[in-house]
Amino acid sequence: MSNPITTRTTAPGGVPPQRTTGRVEREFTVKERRQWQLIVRRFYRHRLAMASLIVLLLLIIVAYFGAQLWHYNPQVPTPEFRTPPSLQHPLGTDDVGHDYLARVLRGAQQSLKIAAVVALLSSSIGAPYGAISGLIGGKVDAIMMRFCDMLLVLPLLVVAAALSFSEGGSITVVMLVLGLLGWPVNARQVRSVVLGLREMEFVEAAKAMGAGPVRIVFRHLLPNATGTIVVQATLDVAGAILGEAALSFLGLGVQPPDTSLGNLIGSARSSIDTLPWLFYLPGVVIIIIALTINFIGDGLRDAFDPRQTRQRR
Amino acid sequence: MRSGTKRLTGLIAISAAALMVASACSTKSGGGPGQSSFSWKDCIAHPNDCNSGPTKQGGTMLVTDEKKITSWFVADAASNTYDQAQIMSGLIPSPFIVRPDSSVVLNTDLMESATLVSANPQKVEYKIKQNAVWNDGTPITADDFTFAWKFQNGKDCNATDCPVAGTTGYDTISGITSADNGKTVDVTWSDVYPDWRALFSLWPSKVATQYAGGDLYAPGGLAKAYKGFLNEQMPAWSGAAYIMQDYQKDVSTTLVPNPKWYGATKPSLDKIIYKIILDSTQEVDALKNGEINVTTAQPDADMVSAVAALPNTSYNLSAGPTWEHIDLNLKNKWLADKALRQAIFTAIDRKDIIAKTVLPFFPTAAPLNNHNYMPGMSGYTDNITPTGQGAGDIAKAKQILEAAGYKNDASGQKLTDPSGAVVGDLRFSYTQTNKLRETSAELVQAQLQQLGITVKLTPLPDLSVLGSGDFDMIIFAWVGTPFLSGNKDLWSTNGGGNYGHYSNPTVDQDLAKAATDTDATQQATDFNAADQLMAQDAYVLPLYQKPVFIAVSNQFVNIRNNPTSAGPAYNMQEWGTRASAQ
Amino acid sequence: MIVFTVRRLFQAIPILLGAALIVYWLMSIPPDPVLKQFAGHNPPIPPATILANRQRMHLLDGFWYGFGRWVADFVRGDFGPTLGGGTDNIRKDLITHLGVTTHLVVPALFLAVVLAVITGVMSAIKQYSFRDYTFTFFGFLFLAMPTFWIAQLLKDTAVNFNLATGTHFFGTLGDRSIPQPEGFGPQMVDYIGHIVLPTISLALITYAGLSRFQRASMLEVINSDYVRLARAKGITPRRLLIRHMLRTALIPMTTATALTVAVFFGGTVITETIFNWQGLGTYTVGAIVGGDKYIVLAVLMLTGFFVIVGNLIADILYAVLDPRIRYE
Repeated sequence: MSNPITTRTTAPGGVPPQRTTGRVEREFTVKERRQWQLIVRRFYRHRLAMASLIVLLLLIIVAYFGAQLWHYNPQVPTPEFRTPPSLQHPLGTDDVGHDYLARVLRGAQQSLKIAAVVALLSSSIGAPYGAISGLIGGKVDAIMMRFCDMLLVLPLLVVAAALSFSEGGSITVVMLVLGLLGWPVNARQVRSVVLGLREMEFVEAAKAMGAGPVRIVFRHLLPNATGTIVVQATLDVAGAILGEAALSFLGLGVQPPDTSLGNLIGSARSSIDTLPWLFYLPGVVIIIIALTINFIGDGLRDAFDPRQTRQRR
Repeated sequence: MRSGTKRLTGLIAISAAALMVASACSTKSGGGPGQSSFSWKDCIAHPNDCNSGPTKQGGTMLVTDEKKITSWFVADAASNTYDQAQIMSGLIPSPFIVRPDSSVVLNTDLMESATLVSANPQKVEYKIKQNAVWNDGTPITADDFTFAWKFQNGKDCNATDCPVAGTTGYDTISGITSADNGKTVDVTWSDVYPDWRALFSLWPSKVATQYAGGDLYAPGGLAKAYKGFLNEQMPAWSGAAYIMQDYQKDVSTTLVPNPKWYGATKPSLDKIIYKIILDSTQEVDALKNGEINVTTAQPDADMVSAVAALPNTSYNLSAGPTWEHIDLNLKNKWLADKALRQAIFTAIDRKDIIAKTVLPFFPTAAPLNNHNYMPGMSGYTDNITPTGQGAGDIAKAKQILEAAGYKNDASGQKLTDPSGAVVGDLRFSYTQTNKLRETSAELVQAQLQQLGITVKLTPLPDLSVLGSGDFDMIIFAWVGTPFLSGNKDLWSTNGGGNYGHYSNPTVDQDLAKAATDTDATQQATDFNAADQLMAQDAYVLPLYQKPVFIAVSNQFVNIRNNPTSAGPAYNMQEWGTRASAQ
Repeated sequence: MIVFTVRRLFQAIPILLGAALIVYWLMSIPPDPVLKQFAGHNPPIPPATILANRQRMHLLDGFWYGFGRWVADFVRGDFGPTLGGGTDNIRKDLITHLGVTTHLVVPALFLAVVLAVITGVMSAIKQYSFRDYTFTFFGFLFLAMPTFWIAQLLKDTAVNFNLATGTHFFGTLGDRSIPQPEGFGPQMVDYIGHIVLPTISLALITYAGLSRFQRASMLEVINSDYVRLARAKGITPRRLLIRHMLRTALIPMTTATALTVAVFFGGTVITETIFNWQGLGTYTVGAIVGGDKYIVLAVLMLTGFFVIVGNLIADILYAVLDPRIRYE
């Protein structure tokens, strides 16, 4: 039997061929693939990244919906206090008697929220800023980058400490601090990509057609920098989780009555020898979140650029 | 090569995991918290001589120091911290010593006697021991007394040149005379100062004169002397049992015995090294690891259980002079009403607060019932229980409110005052890093909820709101002292420590009298009279005395808990290595 | 290039000045640090003393006057007063603390770079192999660990090890034992025992990021045309690796290292706190919490300088090595 040839184009002559005789001409059926599908496919192939995505989604679901279903309230003390993990309290209880699973879930919710907002903030400010700076070049570029340098010089701790005094260590403050001090990194990354892109023909073509800088940035440059932006955003999420934990460990992050994973660890510092689960368990959750996000970022990096070009800062 | 790496990686992973699991799971057993261990069981009955015994020569003791040293001149306000004062006790002689049971006794190494010759005008005669000398051989004389007086009286040297931590007691001295080659010192005060025994920690006037460039009391002389002491990297002088051998900034201080020490007991230790550890959570590991032998960190349930589980370490918790209390700001329009205040204090259950905060690791914790005296001091009387406050009696609190015209609003949830206005939210402020205070705040919030009063938890980074008055209810601690005349400032109208703006003229009168009573019994009567009135006015509710903690490796003896501000260093020359095998 | 460098260094001045102004403003927000320092003292500190200290700390000056005065003093070498008064000299303390941090950071950085190069190269050579996956996994694992988590874990393990073996090899406080043992040999051993834990903590966290970087650049080199040509020519794998691939692949590592150094000097706070090293990190945090604004400003100038120089070096290397980039 012969295989019918199925292609999207009709054969020359306009007559669709019905049969062939003789040797089989094997042409593979190739559907045109859009770029997104290619990217998603490559992501699929990165097994660690896929596994991480699943784990992370599970964690998010558990943190938000699981917390609703769990019967203990994180702020109501129970009669059992300072107990290690048991059937009744899977993660034990703290020194006032709060069920620790409930507290960790609540803390995870808040930490995830902080991390997502920080990454969003950094990307949405940093990417356009870096693209515009890279495109315009010259003196304006220099000034814009020096402003970034100034923000990068500011120590995170000082800003966090000063603002936590006036606002009392709320989640909003921590989000603002981490986001506002983090966007220069995104800007630099995007700018490097743009510096490479702007010598390319399509940008020259756009300019020749009369496109203004804003249009070039948003229509041509940023879409081509998507890979960098997305990867940097995932790094920002991981960085925000760890950054918030570090701030809270030093007492400068989220304060009661708000809670977060870093805050839980910070409160548990003195209990390391006596109630180790209070200290190590939230840390494990942080590690899981940061780990999965980093793998996802790695997968995305591979997916967006299969040649694995060096990523410039 | 490849399979080797694989195996190696696997091996490392497994052993790392095993180690981590092992360390995380090694839960401790051992003595329960709150008990003294080893030879310290008798500390409750005999606080002044528990853990005593014969010493043998030699040994190095490693002690924690929880703050960085800014300067050795502990008379300066910025340098007047507990840790620095402890170290300097080894160098600075004082006429009186405060013992662990709060008794004040004569320092018989330094003084022959110190007697109140006349009460009014107040005159004290000090007789210094003939053999008391500084380590350069200069005898300790009236010159040293005069120097201490002049630079701390706030007049001979102003606050810009000499920003001292305290002038009280020195500022009312009218004159000092001496006899017998300076070994007899007569001090006269223009106003009665009952706490004269706290005065005259001595600094070497000869060194001061050198710093001043010759004439100590010429214009600017005291300022130069002050600066000289302030800038000392490492004092080379000493009038007590030890001298400073080494100081590495921000790292450690080393004391060795003073060869010219004139006292009865010569130090047996070779060295005492104070190590600076800023983060108290690291101290337990250091104790475990043998990197320190003694710590006096703030106790909490975790620290105490961790130390209790350590082998070869004893510890003691004693009720200290620092006491937690809840204050009301009388400038708040609701809290200005006495009935509301009384009801609030009656509803607060102190036993419950204690049970959830200090009781787990300090089994003898009990509510404190006096604003000036601690149990064990001879002036102590229970002034709080008769008022019914602090007992958690919700029914009685409601009665007080009803009698004053308060009712619940329509929903039954909120309290309204006699005019019908809903009583506003009251902020309950506390330092945010203190978990015990946070717990206390939550408990008070729940207790007052039952009266229809809404309490808002307000964590603060520090206590500066005391000065600004921006608080409604606040929990913090005062450091008590056996020298009570200063307490007048805490409770009298416009007093320096009266942060809640309490004012009662009868109380003021009693306090003014108490501040100048030289007779301890009379002083107690006056203070307690004021205290009873103040308790009824419901301004400050004492909660409990904070425990003071000390942990010591078992090889050391004669070092014990001294919860007063004198600290364990009060008998530094007696510390030593245990003579008998442990 | 020289012009570029000099220009950037000049531009550093307004950057540092701007950052200093922001920090000065931020440190002026919390309430009066002298009042906080003396609050709750019993007996209360005399008001005259409090006033004298506030004056000494320039807390009564207006905002711009105070800032201007700080700038003027700073350029003359006077870094300002501290809350501790007396013997504190910020410049001397800064240098001492910088020294401590440096001899914490340098071995850690060295270890991290070596680990990163080895694991990155080995990962890239056998991409997607079990070895690659293992290295990747561990690399990411360490990257995901909060510093204090890993430092605390190491410390616990070391103390238990000490107790189990009865030795005192691992030290958890500072960089040496007090009192120090006699003799050069024992002192060296003591030093190593104290330095190994913090170095490992810092190195583990840092090597992971650098290793990914190294792997990526190594992969690009492996897949590049000139390497394919060299292989086609028949050059042995080892010679290929060492003479051709490594040199190119190491180049981006230099820029990454420059940036890491810059970050390091601000980022060792947690390790220093846990192991009680009196370095820049603990110095700064203590100053921030206490409200010692002049210490914070001085540290800011120092670390800011490092960050700027680090970025400058990275940019120079980057421009020099990639001819596609043009700077106008």
